[in-house]
Amino acid sequence: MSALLSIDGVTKRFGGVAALRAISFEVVEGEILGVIGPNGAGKTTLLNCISGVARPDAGRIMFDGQQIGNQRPHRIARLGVGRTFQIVKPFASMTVRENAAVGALFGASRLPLAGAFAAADEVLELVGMADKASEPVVSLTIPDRKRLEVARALATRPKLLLLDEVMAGLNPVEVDEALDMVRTVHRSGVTIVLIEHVMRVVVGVCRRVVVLHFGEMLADGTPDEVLRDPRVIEAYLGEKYAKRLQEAERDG
Amino acid sequence: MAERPALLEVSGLDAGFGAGLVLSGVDLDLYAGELVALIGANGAGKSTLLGALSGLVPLASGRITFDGRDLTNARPERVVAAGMSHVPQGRRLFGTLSVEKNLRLGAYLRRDAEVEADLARVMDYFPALGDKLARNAATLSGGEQQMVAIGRGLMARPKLLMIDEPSLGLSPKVVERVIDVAQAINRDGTSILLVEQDVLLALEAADRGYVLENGRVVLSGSARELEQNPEVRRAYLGL
Repeated sequence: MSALLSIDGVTKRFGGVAALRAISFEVVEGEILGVIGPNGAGKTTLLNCISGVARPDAGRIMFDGQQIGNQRPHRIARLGVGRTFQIVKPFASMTVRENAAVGALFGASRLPLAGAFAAADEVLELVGMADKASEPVVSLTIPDRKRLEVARALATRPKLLLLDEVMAGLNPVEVDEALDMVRTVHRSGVTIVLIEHVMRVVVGVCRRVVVLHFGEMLADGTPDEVLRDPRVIEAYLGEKYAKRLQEAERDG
Repeated sequence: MAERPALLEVSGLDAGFGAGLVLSGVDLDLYAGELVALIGANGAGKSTLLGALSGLVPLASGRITFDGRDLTNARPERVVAAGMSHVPQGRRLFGTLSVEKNLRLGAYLRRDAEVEADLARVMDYFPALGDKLARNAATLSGGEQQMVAIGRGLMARPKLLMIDEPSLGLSPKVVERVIDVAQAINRDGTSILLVEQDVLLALEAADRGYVLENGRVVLSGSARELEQNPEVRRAYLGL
C-alpha cells in the first residue's frame, strides 16, 4: 500500500510559538486516520498546512506524488484534497443543494452547472440530507449544518477528505449518526483524516490514531496502543496521574 | 452531611450558547465548607458549568439554589451579591489597572466597612503581592496574576469561590503553591468549587469530586474514591 499523503518534518510557527514541530506521518490510501489532541495541540494548523490555508515553515507535504506544501488552497483542492471547517460558513442565501453544488463547480471535479447539481444530489444522498436539498441553509440544525459542510467538501470529488471536528457540539446520539455518515463516506472510496479532540469519536471509526500535544507528535498507533501510552495519559489527565498509573503498573 | 441543606444545589441543568447545548441534565451539590473538584477532559463543559452558575451562560432548563435563594437565571451581579465569586479561566485581569485596583474591583458591590480588612486578608494569603500593589496587573508573572485573580474573587467576600483551571500555563511548582492557598482559604471557611483538567491535582486537594464528560456528570463521589476509580480515566480518554 502506498502513501496517499506523506507529511515529513512539517513545522509551522506563529511568531515565537511553534504550532507544529517536525510532524511526520503518512496516510495510506483507503484508511481513516484519526488526529486527536487537546485544544491548542495544533490539529487545525496541521489541517491548514495540508489544505494550503497555512504554509509550513519547514518540511514537505506530498499528496498523490506531488509536493503540495507550497501550493495555494484552490490548487490543492483541485488535486483532490477536500476539507471541512470547524466553524461552518455555508452561503446563507442559498439552499442546501446550491451550497453543495458550489463544491462541485470549483473543486477537483469542476463540473458545469447541470453536472454540479447532479453531483450535489449524489453527495447529499450520501450524507443523508437528500430530503433537505431544497431547504434554505438558515433553517438547518447544527448537526445538519455539519453534514452539509461534509457534503460541500465531498462535492469537490476529493481522494482525501480532511474533517475538522465535525462532531463538535453534537450530543451522543448525533455523534453516533455522524459516525455512521463518516463510515458511509469512507465506504464510498474516500480516504479520510478525522480531527477530533474527543477521543471516543475517533476510536469508533479509526484503526490508526495520531496524537498531537502542544505542536508535537506524542503517539502514532492503534487506538488501543495510543490510549495506553503514558505520554498520552499525561497530556490528557495530568502528570501526577500518569506517574501514579505507571507506578501501579510496575507494582502489578 | 445529608441532614443539612446544601449550600449550592444544581439540578437538571441544561445550558449552552446558541442552538447547541453544552450541558445536559447536570446535578451537583456542594455543602458549606467543602472543597469540591469538577474535573473532566478538555471540552467536557466545566467552564460552561461555572459560567451557567455565574449567570454568564444562558440556561435552557434546570434549577440553581444557593444559600436558600433561587438563583436560576439570576444576573451575574445578583449571583455575586448572593455570595458566589467566579475566578475565570485565564485570570481575565484588567491588565492596565494596578494590582490593588484589580483587587478592589472584586469588592465593587460592597458598601460595608470591612473591605480594607479583607484586602489585608488577601495579602496574608498572597504575601508575594505585597510589594506589587501599584504595578499594572499585566506586568506580573502568570502565577502572580493567578493570585490576583483569586484575591479579586475573595474581595467579594464569597461563601463560595469558584476557581476555573488555576493551573493553566503555570509551572508545577507555582501550581502547587496556588492549590495550597486554595486549601488554606477553604480551611478558613470559604467553600470552593475547583475546576481542573489535571485529575490528581484537583482530587488530592478536594473532599469530593464530579467528573464531567461531554456535558454530563458521569461520576461523582469522594475525592479519595475517585482517585482510585479507573472510570475517571475512561471518561477522559473515551475507552
